[in-house]
Amino acid sequence: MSTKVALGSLPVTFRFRSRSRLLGILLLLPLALVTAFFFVYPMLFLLWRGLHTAEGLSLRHYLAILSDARYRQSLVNSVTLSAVVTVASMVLSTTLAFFFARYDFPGKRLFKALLTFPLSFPGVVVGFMIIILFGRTGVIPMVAMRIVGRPLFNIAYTLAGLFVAYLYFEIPRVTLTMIASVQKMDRRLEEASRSLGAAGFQTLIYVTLPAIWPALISASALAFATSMGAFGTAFTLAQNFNILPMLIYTEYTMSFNIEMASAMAVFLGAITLALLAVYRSWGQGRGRSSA
Amino acid sequence: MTGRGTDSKIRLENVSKRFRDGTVAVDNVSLDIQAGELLAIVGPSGCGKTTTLRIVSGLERADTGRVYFDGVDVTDVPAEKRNVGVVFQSYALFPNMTVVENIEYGLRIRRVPPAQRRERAGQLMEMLKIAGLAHRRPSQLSGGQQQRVALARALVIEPAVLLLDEPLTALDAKLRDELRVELQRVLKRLGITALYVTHDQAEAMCIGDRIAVMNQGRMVQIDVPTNIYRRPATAFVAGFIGTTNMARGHLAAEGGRLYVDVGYARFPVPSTTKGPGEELTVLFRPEDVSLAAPGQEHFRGRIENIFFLGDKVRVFVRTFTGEEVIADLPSESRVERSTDYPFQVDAAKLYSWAEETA
Amino acid sequence: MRSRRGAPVLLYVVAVATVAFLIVPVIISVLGSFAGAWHRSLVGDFTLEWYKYVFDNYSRTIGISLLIGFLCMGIGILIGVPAAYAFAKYDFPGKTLFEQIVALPMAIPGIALAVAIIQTHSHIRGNWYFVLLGHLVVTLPYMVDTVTATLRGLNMQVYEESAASLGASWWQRFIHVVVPNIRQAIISGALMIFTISLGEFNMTLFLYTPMYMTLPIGLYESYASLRLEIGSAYTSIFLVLIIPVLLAIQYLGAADESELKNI
Repeated sequence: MSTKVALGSLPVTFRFRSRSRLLGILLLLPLALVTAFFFVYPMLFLLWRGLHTAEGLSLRHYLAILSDARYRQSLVNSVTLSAVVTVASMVLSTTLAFFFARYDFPGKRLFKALLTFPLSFPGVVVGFMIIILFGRTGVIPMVAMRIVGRPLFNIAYTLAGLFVAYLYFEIPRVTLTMIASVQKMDRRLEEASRSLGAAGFQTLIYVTLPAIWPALISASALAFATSMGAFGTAFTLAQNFNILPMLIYTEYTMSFNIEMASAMAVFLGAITLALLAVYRSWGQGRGRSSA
Repeated sequence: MTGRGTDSKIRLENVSKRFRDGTVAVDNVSLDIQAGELLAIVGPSGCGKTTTLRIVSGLERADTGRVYFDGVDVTDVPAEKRNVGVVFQSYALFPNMTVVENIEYGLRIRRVPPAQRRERAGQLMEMLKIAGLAHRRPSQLSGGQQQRVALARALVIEPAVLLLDEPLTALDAKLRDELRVELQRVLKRLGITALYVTHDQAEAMCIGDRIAVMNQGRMVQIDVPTNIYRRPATAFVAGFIGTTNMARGHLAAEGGRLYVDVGYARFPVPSTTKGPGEELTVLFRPEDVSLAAPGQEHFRGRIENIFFLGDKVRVFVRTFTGEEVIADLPSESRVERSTDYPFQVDAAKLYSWAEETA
Repeated sequence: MRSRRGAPVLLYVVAVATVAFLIVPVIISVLGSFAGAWHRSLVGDFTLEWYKYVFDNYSRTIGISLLIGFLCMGIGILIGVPAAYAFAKYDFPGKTLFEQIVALPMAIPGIALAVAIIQTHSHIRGNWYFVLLGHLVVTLPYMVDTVTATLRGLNMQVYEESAASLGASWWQRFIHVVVPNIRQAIISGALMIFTISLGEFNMTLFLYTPMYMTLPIGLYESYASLRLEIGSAYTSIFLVLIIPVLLAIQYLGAADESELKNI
């Protein structure tokens, strides 16, 4: 309809006659109640809890995350692990995305379906998949046993195994995001580059990657956020990994260090929130959750 | 020119509306539409014509003023109860219904029994030549077809007034012309009262029994097309409707007659309340200008551009004072660019304003 | 899709290797769930004893997960769809903020949410609906988001005005025009809710009580303390429940961005 005149006016037809206002409130009320009681209030409480010390409100707990060696180490571990996983998954997934978007091959739909099918796996299942692959009686060690006589790559319960597990749940996510971005990219840039004599690799470095760098940043932010927040996977594989989500769990349930756990939970939430904000603003995704 | 007696079918009285951000959409507008009449509201983007239409429909509510249907105050009556038929610019055909389901929708709401619904819808589809599309979905229709379906849907309920919001704007030129003719035919045949909004002045002049010109929320002039064209109320109307030449100058008396000296020419003034020495703006249309017979010229000018339009030749003339005059010459005229010619203006067609009104 | 030449062999290898990495364990797991003793041989020695074990010990768990999943779906539709409609249709001060707050649970790790909820609502812990409420918080945003996006994309406003001008009341407009056009979005939103709820672990770990354990918790138990074969069987059951839903979502075409969710 002719909306040139309507710019700046309300999108609602019936404005706020009392009947329509009542309707609007009725429609939104249940959602508002659920969100307020079971999300906003708990999160605010969590925030308060993290600030709560014997001497009143203070940032002591939050600062302890950075100053206390154990907490800091877990933060460092989380960040490092997430960074490594992000880089690895970005390299692999972007490659796969180009492969999918630029070439034709039989079974493309199947390929995409198989690649994205593990998206719905909870972390525990991912952990189990890694146990199956790399556990004591896992596929890889068994195969290695047959071939070289020693069970190699029995890494399921190690940091390496955790890394592989994280890779397992990042690949579907990141590949899906990157496929969408690569498909949207203007091919003519590459054609121009090639017409100017650039070899494939040069085009890749100087033209293609720069053209999709917002998508790269966005996808990296998503991968990083998912990694930082992941819990079930690590929980399944071992409980002694010193990463932030794990520490929150142990501090709360075993040490009953509620205030510290709350502070760390808020801290972690803030990090993933910020990362996902980057994901949303740099990419075209509708911003989905981390772990 | 504005509201007449209570025999008008639709009447707006001093209607104003302001948007939430403060801009004035409609400013003290009054108009009336007679039964069976097609009133065309025309004006540039943002002039308030669509908002006015929406106020008539009940989809928008005016801040002040009243709306009357057949003398009954419907200002507080919501759109659902006003029995109006609206044809939206984007047609707004329900994607989840077939063509015939779309058309019958209004009847269904009015609880017309299925057999009757089918019959009435069928008649209208025949009239609009879309009978064969009955079971298609809107997405399978062309723009022109969708338009007809939208029209049928609005007409089948026999509305008090048919409101059309730029219905032809989304179509290409040829289709637009065809559909406009058909639209007129159908509306006249059904004797429907209609309000037609468009930004295309040629379209408005063609289709309207009366034209209402709006600018910046205000109603500038409501009249029959001839008067709008020949006696525009303001410079805005003159400039907006068709092409106009406007010139401003001083009055002078000579030999018992009044002339206006606009710099490059002196025109005899038809009639005016003003006296010598005062300022006057005159306007004349391109078709009132012609190549002058010897001794009859009003001014000379150099032709800068020539456009052959089939039935006429439009030339852009530069006078010695630097002003531009647009003239429509007969299509056989032999004129050349960058050449001077003498021109005359049909003095009987000159129109003037005393005041400079926007 | 344009293809100029075939892809370099290396890319094929990488692609196949990656897919293998992802899918092989799933296949092994399914096969292993029928195997008498895994480390001896994966095939041959067919048995259903592991499945029997899972059903004997975890049917209640599975049932609870399904119940919670269905309830989440139903409540999600009842609460989420009207809200989405209101978001798309009305404007009011604070609307954007409201929308963003509703969307926040999608961006916050499950454990953070859990630690928050368990502190503020500890008094209702131990009730069956405690876990349900937690799941609601994380699943509602998906429904609201999907349906709002569809409504906005459709520019529902014009259709509603059109129906209104033809005489339809609010309710008639909603039933005849709005709902039919968002049906697909509602269904895919509901299916997503189901998937997320069924797989929710991080938050549920904090909220559950042994009486009301959910499927993923049971999965964890089986992984941590029981034989691989049992874990495999349990996982297979989970897959059987999830895969049809995923296929349905794919079929409805809403798959693309909407699955980047909880771990």
